[in-house]
Amino acid sequence: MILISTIRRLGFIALLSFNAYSQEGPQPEGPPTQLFGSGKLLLTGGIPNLDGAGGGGITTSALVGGYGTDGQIGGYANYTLVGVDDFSLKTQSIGIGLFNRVELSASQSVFDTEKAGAALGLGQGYTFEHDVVGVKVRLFGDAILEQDSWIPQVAIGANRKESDNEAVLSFIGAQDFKDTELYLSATKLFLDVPLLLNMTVRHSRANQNGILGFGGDKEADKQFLFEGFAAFLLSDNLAFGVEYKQNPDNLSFSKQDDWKDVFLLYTPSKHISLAVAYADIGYVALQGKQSGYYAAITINF
Amino acid sequence: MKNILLVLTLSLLSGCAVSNSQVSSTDRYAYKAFGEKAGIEKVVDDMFVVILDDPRINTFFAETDNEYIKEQLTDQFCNLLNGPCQYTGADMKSSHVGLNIGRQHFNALVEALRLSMDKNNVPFGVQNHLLVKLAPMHRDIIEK
Repeated sequence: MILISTIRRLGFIALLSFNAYSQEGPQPEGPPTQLFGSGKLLLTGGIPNLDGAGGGGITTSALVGGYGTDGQIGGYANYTLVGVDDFSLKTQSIGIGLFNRVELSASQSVFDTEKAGAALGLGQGYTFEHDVVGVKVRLFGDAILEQDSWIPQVAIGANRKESDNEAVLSFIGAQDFKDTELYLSATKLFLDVPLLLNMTVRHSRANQNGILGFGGDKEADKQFLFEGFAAFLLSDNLAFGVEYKQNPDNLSFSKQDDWKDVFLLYTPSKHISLAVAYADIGYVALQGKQSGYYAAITINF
Repeated sequence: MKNILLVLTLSLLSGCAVSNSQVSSTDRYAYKAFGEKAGIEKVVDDMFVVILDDPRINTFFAETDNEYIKEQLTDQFCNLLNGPCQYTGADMKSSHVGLNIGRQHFNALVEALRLSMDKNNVPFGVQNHLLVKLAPMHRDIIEK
């Protein structure tokens, strides 16, 4: 798959940059600048969400993903597993952060209906697959260093989402199997607490993040939806927090709830982040309330 | 963990209470937690060991009077924590002008300070209390 080979390539670049760093000796003149030097502070690389955009697990932040700071290029590759009562989700994503200004990302998700697939008449183990490509641009602000100011880091972004299941999505009442959503995100670290806060507003009509298509028979149009997280830093490599993501309720065939989770993020080095969460994603596709685990591994540079 | 909670509580208290004294209780606690001036001096010393071993930033300190810089930093940190010290060194802008310091170098120094504070068992919340005061200096230090 293209994604896998891209991940390999990214890993290779990460390795190269790492070697470049370890071979770098003292230079006689001027400050050494390392393009792939992972110059961000630990934990501030975050982890990509299910769309592949830098943020938390289910929400997007204003931080540019990866560990590249100003004048540097960073990147990440992520694998996420979500298992709730009647469904499971696998997501892989990659992203690149350019000069702490622009983030480009891509993700592929497979939503497995498991036994519920049979009950829904789709067949046991029927899968919904969708791809996302995203771009995020930091507009202004610095979430981390501006500790004497309340002004957050603010970014805008766009996601292009496309599902492979056009016929089924049309059958359940979705208006479209592909769509573009825009978001505006504000993130701020309050180091004295120490708390990292994030608030994002998204103009979207994605059903279950786009897994069940876009818009519906009940509500066809996009609306402004809020999401955010609060992460309490337990140390410089461990964070504990909550996330909340508002969802639309567009389809009359099945109600949709907001998503929420409680997470623990462990970042032993700038090159690896591990996240686990207990997620409550509410009512999904006639199968009642769904909750379960979220686990993700992210490789960064 | 206990220390983090203590600092958190103190931060909240000092934030809520109208303090008459110039030195907040958080500052007093932080200064003590550092081990007063001798402790700060040790943290600065150990930070310099890390800095001089870090190829990302050690070139900045290759031809400088590092003993003098260490003294100045000790006084500055002590002063920021409202300890009984006078910082008499140059302001941040003029002492860093022309060095072409980038954010990656600034952050590398923060990492050296974190490592040193960890080594000297400065509680996480106390570390943050100092870093909160140092972080805004990036505006005078970072040039590109």
